[in-house]
Amino acid sequence: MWTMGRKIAAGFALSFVLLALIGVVAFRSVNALTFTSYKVAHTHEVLEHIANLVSLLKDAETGQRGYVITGDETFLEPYRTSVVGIDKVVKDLRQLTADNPNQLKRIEEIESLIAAKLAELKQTIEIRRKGTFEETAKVIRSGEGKKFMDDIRRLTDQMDQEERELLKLRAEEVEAAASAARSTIIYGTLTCLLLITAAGFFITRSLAGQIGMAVRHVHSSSAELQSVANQQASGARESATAMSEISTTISELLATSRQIAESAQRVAHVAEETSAAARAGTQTVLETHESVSGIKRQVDLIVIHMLDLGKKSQQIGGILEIINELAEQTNILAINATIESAGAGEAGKRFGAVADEIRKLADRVGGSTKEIRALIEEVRAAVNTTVMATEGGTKAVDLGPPLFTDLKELIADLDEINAEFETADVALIIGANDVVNPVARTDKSSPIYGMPILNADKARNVIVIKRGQGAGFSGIENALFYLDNTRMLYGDGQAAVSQLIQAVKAV
Amino acid sequence: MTSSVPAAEKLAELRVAFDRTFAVARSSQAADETQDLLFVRVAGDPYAIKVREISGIVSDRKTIAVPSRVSELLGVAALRGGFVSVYSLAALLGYGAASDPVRLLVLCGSKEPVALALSNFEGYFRVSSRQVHATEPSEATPGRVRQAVCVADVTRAVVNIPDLMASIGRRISAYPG
Repeated sequence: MWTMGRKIAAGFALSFVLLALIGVVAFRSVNALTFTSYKVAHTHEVLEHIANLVSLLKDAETGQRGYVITGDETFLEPYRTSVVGIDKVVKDLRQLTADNPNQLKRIEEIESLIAAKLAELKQTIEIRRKGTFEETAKVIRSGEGKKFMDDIRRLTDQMDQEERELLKLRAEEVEAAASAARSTIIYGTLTCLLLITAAGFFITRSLAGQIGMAVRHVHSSSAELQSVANQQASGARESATAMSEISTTISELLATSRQIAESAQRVAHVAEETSAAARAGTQTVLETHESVSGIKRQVDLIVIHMLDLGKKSQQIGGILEIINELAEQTNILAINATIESAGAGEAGKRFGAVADEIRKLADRVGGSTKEIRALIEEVRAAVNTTVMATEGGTKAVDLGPPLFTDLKELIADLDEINAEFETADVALIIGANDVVNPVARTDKSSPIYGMPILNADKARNVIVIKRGQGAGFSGIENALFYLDNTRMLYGDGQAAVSQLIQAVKAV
Repeated sequence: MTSSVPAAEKLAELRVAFDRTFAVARSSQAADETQDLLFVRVAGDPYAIKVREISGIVSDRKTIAVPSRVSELLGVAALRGGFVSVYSLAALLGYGAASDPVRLLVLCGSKEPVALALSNFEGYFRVSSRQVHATEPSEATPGRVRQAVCVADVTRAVVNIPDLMASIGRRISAYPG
C-alpha cells in the first residue's frame, strides 16, 4: 500500500529525474554545439590564412612586375612587405592544420614552391636592377615563375576545397547538434510537464479520497461519541432516580424494623410449640426412610428375577425355532406322502388320509409356534417394561434418603420461619394449601395432624391467592380459608401479586 | 394377549377334529370335488401349483450353478442318489433372473424330473373345484397359466406345470448338445 508521503516523494523524484535527464542532454548538446562552432571558426581562420597567403604572393608578384616594368624601387614595397608576411602566414597555417596530415603535406609542398617562387622573383628583380627590362622580360617569359604560381594556386585551391568541405560537414554537425538539443529540450519539457501534471492529478485525487474518508470517520466517531454521551447522561438520570427510591425504601425499612422490635416478645412461645411438632415430624421421617430402604431391597430382587425371566424367554424362543423347523419339515414330508399315495391308486388312499392328517397336524404345530412366538414377544416386552419401571423405582428410592435429609433441614427451618408469623402484619399465601392448614396443629382427628406446617394463620392478616377453593393433596378442606383474618384472592398468582404491588405503591 | 381362546379348549378342539377324520366314511366323490394346491409367491405375486401335477417337494437342497445358454437354468441339485436340473420358476414365468434365495424345490415329471426353484412357500391348501376357474391367457406367461383360484379374497394364477415342462423341453432342444 502506497502512503501519501511515498506518492508525493515518488512524484517529485520522477520530476527530478526527468529534469536532470533533460539538463544532461541539453548540456551535452550545448557542449557539442560549442565544440563544433569552434571547429567552424577554426576552419574559417584556415581559409582566411590560405586567402591571405595567396594575396601576399600576388602582392609580391605585383611588386616584382611593377619594378621590372618601371625600374622604380618604390614599386618593390609590396614585394618586401609580402616576403616578410608570407613566412608568418605559412607558420600559422602549419599550426592551424597540425591535426590534418593532408593539409600539412600540401603546406610542405607549398613552402618549397613559395621558396622557389620567391627565389625566382628575387632573381628577376636582381637582373632588372643590374640589367635592362628586356633581359628581365626574357627570364619572365621562360614561364618558370608562372608555373610556380600555378602550382601554388592549385595546392591552395585544394586546401581551400578541403577546408570548405570540412566547413560544410561541421555546419551539418552544428545543425544536427542544435536540432537534437532543441528536440530534447522541447519533448523532454513536454514529457516532464505531462508526467508532473499526471502525478499532481493522481496525488490530488488520492489526497481528496483519503481526506474525505478521514472526515467521514471523524464524523462517524463524533456521532458515536455523542450517542455514548447521551446514554451516560440517561444512565446518570436513572441512577439519581434509583438513589431517590433507595432512600425512600430505607425510610420504610426503618419503620418496619421498629414494628419488628415491638412484636419480638410474642415470638418465643410460638416457637416452642412449633419445635415440638417438628421433632415429631423428624421421627416419622426416619421411620419412613427405613421402610423405603426395605422396598429398595425387594425391588432389586424383582429386577434380578425379571432379568432371569427375560433370558428364559430367549431360550424358549430358540427352542420354538427348532419346533417350527421340524413342523415345516413334517409338512413337506406329509405333502410328499400325499403325492406318493395319490400315485398308489386305491391302496394309497388310506395312506393318503394319514398323510393328510400328519400335514394338518404339522400345520397346526406351525400355527401354534407362531402364537407361542407372539406370546413370548409379549412376555419379553412386559419383562423389559417391568425392568425399566423397577429401575426407575430404584432410582427414586435411591433419591429418597437425600430427600429425607432435606426434609429434616426444612423442618428445622420451619422452627425459625414460624417464629416470625406471630409478629407479621400480613402473610401472603400463593397457591399453598395443606402446608398452611392449621388443623395439622389443632385437630387430632385430622389425617394431617402432626404434619409440620407454616403457621400463617397466626399473622394479623392473611391473604390467600389461589385459582379456586379446592382441597390439597390430603383431600380435606383448609380451615385457614375460613378464618376472620383471612382474605381470599382468586386468580392467577403472578397477575394477582402484580396488582397487589401496584395497589400498595398507590397507597 | 394374542389369543383369547384358552389352551385347554384349543387342545380339545384339535382332538375332536383329529378323531372325526377317522370316524367319517371315506368318500371318493369328495376327492373329485376338491383340488390340492400349493400356494406360493413368485416375485411377490400369488400363484398356485396343483399337487397332482408335481412329483414331490424338497427343501434345503444346495444348487450348483452350471454354465448354460438356457438363462432359466439355475444349476443342478443332488436328489436321491442322482442329479436334477433346477430351473427358476420366476424366470420361467417371465419375471427375469430371481435374486431371492431358493427355499424349496418343486419336482416335476417322473422319467426325467426337473426341479422348479421357489423362494416363498405359503402352504398346502385343499380347495373346492368350483373355486378353480379358467382365466384369460396372459401375454407375459403364454400357455403357462390357464386357470386361477380365489381363496380368502386373493386370486391366484394356477401354474400349468405340463405346459411349463413342455416349454423347458423346447428350450433345451433349441440348444442341442
